[in-house]
Amino acid sequence: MTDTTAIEVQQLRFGWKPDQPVLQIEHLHIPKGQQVFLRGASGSGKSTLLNLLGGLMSPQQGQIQLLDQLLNTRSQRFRDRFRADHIGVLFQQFNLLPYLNLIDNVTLPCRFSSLRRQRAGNPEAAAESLLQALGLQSFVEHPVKTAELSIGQQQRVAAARALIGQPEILLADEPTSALDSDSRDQFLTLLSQQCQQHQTTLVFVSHDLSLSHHFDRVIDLSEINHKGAV
Amino acid sequence: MLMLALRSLWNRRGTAALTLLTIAISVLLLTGVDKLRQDARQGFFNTVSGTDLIVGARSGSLPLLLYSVFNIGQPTNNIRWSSYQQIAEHDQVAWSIPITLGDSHRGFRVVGTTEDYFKHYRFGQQQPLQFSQGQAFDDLFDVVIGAEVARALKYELGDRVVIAHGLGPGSFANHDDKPFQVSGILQPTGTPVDRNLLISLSAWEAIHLDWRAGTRIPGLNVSKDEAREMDLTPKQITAFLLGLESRISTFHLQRAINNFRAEPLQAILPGVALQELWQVMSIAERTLLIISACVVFAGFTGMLGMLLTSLNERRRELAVLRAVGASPLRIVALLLFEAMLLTFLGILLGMLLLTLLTLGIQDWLALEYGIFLSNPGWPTGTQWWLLGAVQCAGLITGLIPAWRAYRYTLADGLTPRL
Repeated sequence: MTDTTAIEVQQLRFGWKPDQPVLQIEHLHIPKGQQVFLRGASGSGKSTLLNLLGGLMSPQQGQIQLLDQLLNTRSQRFRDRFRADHIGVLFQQFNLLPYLNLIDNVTLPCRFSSLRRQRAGNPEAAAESLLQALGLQSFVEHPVKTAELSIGQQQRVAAARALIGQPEILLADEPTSALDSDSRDQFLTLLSQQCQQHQTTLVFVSHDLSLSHHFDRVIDLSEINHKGAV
Repeated sequence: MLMLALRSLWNRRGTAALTLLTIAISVLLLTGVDKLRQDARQGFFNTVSGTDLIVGARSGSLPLLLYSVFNIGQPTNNIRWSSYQQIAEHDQVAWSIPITLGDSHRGFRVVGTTEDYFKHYRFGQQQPLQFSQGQAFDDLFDVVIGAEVARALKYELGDRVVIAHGLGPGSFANHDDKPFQVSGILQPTGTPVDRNLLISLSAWEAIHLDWRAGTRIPGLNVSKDEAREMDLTPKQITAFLLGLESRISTFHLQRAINNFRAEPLQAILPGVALQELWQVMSIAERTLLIISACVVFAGFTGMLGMLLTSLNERRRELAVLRAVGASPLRIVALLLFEAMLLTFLGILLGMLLLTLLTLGIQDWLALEYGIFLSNPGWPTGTQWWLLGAVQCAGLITGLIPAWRAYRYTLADGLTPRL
């Protein structure tokens, strides 16, 4: 089973203050390649869970296993390296560094991870083909400044960045919340296509249930989170 | 990572340039004051060497030193020629250089003296005066000019020089009936000698034959040729420098001169007087240094402000870097590097400005204030120390935003709070 596990969470407890847990998850298993929609109202601890899964924070109790690594017992340094190598991240907004051009923005993870650089082969070429696959062909041919892109286009560039070098896991924190409904569906179609193609495990966090039809599985955070119900 | 830091900084080049300028100006001020201090000190203690006693009319030791050596201030009184002769013939006196002051040429002082000036005057490390062109006085109306005079007034050998009566550039009474000819140009010494015009005591006497109490005597016109026929033994001089046979007799002779019967004289030891004068100046010097240290402080406060303000705008940028795998330590390194780079570039720019400024005001400073700046070059001992201190201050300043960024990245994780 372990070689097919992307994410395995057990007996997880996390709170900003010890007596007020924000998250309390008995068990969560996500197999490799699955595209999961994680629904939760704002303030329900979605972002905290993503930070825990991304290795930016440590739980007070419990285990977090990503791929074949138990992350919660490892050092901050190891988790940062692991994230660089195996995890792509998509934010709600402002994903791009305004002082880098599109290609440099997309190849950014390859600067921090030699593994992803290797997998990408030629990072610039990989970035171009990803941008093309995400419908940004015209910007490859006629480069523009990062700030001149629309929000929808920026999010697609960010998706290309999250996908370059084929990380096994992609964590997305409401990347469509700033988009209108047409470009939202277009973006999600492209994203899930790419994830399918690269066998990427996608954890997509949002409060908007109308998007759930794009995903293999829908998890409601309030159902798996037993905070306060000790 | 380096490239990221540079691109990020370039993206904020407007504010960064201002910060750079602030640091550069504070570095300029700090090193400039230090340079001024060093050069003034250098020029100061190098002005006279090998002279055992300076003798003038009784006043204070500082005024005597200032007018006889530094071309500053007015002589209070003259000495009789007979007194000078009497002392110069003393057993212990190896050589003597008489000096007469009071006239000028286009702002530069004219010194009446003898051939002994070129033979015995020493500056710096016992260096003698040397001619870059020409020679000492041959004709009565020959003048030898210092390097700075020649350079500033573009004088060459054989040029005609009219000496003005009195000091200061505003003098209207000229000795235009008895022009001089440049017979020699001295090599630069970096001392006030560079700004002197030297004529013989006889010539001094000759141009003042028909003058009394600062004005021409009406109706009396002694021509150049008539003057040559007259008795040109000087009656008075302003001061004289003495070199002794043995240093041991310095104090003995000093006491003898101070107790001179015929008129009130004063003999001073140049080294002691220089030291005294430097004490007075070092207060100003230290004040300047403190002020420039304050400017450096202000410069870094500005940089701190800029870094902290930009940090708020950059929380997203830092979160993106964290997301793609940058460790918190790397973020700290990024911010420290930025502060160090700004400081370093500020230092470079400051030194460049110092070089340009030195080249620009060197002449003016020498002409107007008699301060000789050495040519710009690589930083010297204390300057390295100062620059090192500035770089360290940059590092310390950088630590504050770096620490804030570290805390932000840990607290924000993937979700920058904005």
